[in-house]
Amino acid sequence: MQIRLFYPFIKKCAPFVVTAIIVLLLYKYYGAFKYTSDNLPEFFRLNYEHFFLVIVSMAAAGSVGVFLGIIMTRKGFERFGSAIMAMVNVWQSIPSLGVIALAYGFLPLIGFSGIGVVPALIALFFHAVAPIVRNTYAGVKDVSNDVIESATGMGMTPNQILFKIEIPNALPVIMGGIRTATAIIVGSAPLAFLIGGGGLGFWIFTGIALMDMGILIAGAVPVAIIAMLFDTLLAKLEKIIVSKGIQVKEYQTA
Amino acid sequence: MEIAICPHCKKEIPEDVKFCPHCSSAVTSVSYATIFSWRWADKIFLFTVILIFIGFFQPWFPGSILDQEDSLSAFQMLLNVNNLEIDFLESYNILRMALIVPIFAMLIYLLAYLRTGMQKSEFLPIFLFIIACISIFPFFFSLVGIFFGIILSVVFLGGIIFYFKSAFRKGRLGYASYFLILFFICLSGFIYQLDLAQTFYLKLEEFNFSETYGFWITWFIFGILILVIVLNFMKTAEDFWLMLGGMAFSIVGYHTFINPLFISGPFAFFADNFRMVGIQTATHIKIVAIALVIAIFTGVPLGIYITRNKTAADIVLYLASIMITIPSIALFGFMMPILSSIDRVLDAVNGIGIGAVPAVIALALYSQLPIIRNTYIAIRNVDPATIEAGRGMGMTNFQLLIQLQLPLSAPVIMAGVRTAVIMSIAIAAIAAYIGAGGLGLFVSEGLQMATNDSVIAGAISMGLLAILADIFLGRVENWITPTGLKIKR
Amino acid sequence: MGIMLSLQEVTKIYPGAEHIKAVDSLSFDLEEGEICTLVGPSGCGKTTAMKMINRLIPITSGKILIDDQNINRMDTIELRRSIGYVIQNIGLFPNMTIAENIATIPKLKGWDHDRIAEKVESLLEIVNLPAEEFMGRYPRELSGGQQQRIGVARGMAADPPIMLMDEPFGAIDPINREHLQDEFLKIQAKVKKTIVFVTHDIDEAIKMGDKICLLKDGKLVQFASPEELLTEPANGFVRDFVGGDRTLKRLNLLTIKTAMNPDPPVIMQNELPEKAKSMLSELKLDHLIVVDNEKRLIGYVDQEALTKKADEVGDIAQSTEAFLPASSSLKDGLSEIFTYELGYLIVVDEDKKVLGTLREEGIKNILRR
Repeated sequence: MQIRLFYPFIKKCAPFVVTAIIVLLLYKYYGAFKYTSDNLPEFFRLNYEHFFLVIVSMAAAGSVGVFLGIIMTRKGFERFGSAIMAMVNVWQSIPSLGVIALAYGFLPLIGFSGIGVVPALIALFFHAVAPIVRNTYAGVKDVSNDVIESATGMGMTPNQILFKIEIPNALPVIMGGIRTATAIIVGSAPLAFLIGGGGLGFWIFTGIALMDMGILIAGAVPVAIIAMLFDTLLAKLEKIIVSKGIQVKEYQTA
Repeated sequence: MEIAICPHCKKEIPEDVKFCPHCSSAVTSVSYATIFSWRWADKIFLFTVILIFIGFFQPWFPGSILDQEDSLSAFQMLLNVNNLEIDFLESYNILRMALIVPIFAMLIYLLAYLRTGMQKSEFLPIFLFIIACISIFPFFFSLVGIFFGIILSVVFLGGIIFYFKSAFRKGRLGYASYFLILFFICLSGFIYQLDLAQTFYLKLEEFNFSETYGFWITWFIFGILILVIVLNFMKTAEDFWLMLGGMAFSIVGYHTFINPLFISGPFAFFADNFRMVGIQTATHIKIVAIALVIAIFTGVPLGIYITRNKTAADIVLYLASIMITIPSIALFGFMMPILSSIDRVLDAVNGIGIGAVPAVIALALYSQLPIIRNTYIAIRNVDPATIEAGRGMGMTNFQLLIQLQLPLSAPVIMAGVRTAVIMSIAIAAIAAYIGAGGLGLFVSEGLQMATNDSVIAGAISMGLLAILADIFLGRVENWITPTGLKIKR
Repeated sequence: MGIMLSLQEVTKIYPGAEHIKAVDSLSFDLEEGEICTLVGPSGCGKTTAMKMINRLIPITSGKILIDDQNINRMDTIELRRSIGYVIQNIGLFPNMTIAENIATIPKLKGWDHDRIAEKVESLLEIVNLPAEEFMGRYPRELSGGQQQRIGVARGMAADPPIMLMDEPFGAIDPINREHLQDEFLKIQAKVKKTIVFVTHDIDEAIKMGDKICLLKDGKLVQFASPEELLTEPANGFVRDFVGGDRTLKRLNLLTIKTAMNPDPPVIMQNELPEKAKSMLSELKLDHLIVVDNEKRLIGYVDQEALTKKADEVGDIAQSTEAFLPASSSLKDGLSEIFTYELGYLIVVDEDKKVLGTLREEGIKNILRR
């Protein structure tokens, strides 16, 4: 009888446990543990750089993306809307390696260096801003016209409507876009190393060059963990800031 | 963002009005004028002109700048033509001269647009008129002397106007348009006076095409590619002006602020390494294609299977989503030692590179998530009422699948495939780092050896490939969607 | 009781459709505390007219005065905040709780916390939704009827002198609609707001309105009380729109009090049967109503009952169901007359005291007037 009660609990934990076991085995087998512990200070530094890349580009993409998305919904800006959308889509379609390469190639012409953390941040920003803009636009546009009409008729100014009604109601969709963008950023962050942006890509590429699986895993697993960490954090954030009246009940976590 | 047109008088009307302000007829249905309602020939013609127009300001076009230290753009040459030596003029090739024509063609296009709106392209006849003004009349003058030249010109001109008279109708600009026509006639006299016409026509046999074939092919292909992309994105007159404005701004911008020759580097790179670029593009596409085929054949059936089994669904979706969080480069690296040995056995991927097999397999794995997830969602979202109706009619499970569920889910599955393709192109670029080849090779080598040109060339080609693939797949998606389901975006 | 709302030659022409007047020189005056129903066929301009009052649609020409002030001279936002606005699809804000929804405008006006809380509670009581239960709920948890009531409460939140309602009961199923209409009339009896109410249903207009404004193709056809509309339709269109059964519709409007014969002959229950007999033959009646000391209805006696032996009339009185309170509609009265054996109806007050009798003759007379 008692085991019955545990079933849902086991079901929930099993995937994590199995994955954790596999990861630990990989670590052990390829000597990643040893490598990490041997180079602990470097490990922390790389992690810090990676976090820095992800957080800063995410913050930038989030704020600019949401801002652009909202501007696109305002009266009078519809014509720029599709131009911005097309531009942003192009930036997303170009492969991440391409965006990084373009940053490397074109930034020197404007006076910035093509190497270092800043170009990497800029590249990540441009690459990931599309889902945020798209989702913000769709989310705000989707707020029911009846709600907007009754708010206008009641005497709310357009700004009040924007901040009290349109944005809160669009939040679930906006958060979805931010989560997608974060996934993109985390996936592309290892490439920052190629133009001197630092991060765990260092160990990954070194591992490939030297054909040393240990180093490779020591670099790759933290990246995967960071990805999952951010996704979970954002999911929690969503639960907190999205009003209970509109929360999406069914989740498909990715 | 399309222009609404009254179905009766074909003039522009505001979007949601009930009666046409021009012809006062009731607007029951509205038609939209888009660039796509033009004739194809006009469209291609227009954009070729645009491309040549861009080239007119580039010092490196046409003609190889690689052996001239300080070259001037055709525009600059035109401005300084009277100061230049005659043999320099002689070494012009035809295109440089012909470039005068497109400039005025652009201006005339402006005129045509303002005069007739976007109903039909009447650009062509007006353009012919301008060509006549600029090229043929001076020729007449030089052939038969001014007096007869004028007579011939007037006859010719009259012929064009008469034949295309609708294009010369009084339009929005009213009488101003007639003045403009007059202006262009005078311009022909000016060009004659410049002596260019004589040189141009009488020295035909002395032009030379000394550039590499790669250069021309590159330019031509770029032109076509950009044409396709732009045609896809531009839908209305506003887009056209936006694009024109953007072009003008960037041309002026980088001629003023940025090294005018910077784009020539990558361009020259393309021209010189044209063959290599082609091969790597082919490799890239091959890798993505094989991986996609594998992914579809495993992903779709898997997606269908898990709609029937909840625990399997949880496991599979969880696994697939974990897969995506693993950085692609790591997965590649991980697979290499395991799989490179297999590669020697398989003839199919032979010659592509050691890293090709791990790349294909890793790509197939990455593509699983979008494809499986979309298949799962799509099949689950088919209205249960439809399934019930089918079952009630006596369809077997298999028939249900083939005749109902798959066609109804096709659009969403296709969307998943599209996502997978874009993702795969991006990841395959990284595969260059494990020796799989592909367009990422240019970037990786360029970064290693600090050759900017290679890096930029690689990035541009990847970008173009991705955008074109997206456009192409968009069309396929449209084609696959059963007509009954076409969702209006 | 002055004129709260005044429309003067209000006209609306949409740009691009210059030869149609969506609203054509509409003029009427509405007194404070009255409900005016704007009614008419689809496309007659009733919603357009209403939306011009809170300037959601700009006026092309003419004036609208609220409390003698031209609305065009007032600040738009302030104007809208002083008008309650309830629309057909309600438009509750999904991201806010019910309490927050209702409190939206008071908050924007800067009321203090306690005043808002008090107002929200009292409004919820007025619309019959217990405050503790509903304050913290979200719109999507409520049924359509409940949402509609919250919409009305929200409109009343800032104590606006005027309210605009656009088919507020249109999206509700017919069963609940009648219920809500009755509830609303009860609320109006308490708060006495000036209301402009748009509907396409003539029956609803007649039931809800103190004044009815009938529009066709943007023009005012008739502005009158329901009674006047039914008895004196201005033209054939009005007659058709109201419906061929307009006289019967009046049955809904009038109470049985207006058509009864007051103070009918009654007999106390403790009187002698003989007296009843003599009264019956004297007055030439078939039945005699039996009451108690307070004149409350006990029953009736007829010739047959009086053949029985009894000490008091009360013992042989037969009880009956054929009575209704004086405030019932004539329609119910007529229906009851046909149901019961008596052939007529006894009109009583809330304490069941006999006030009169209602007969078919009485109804006919009042309808013919």
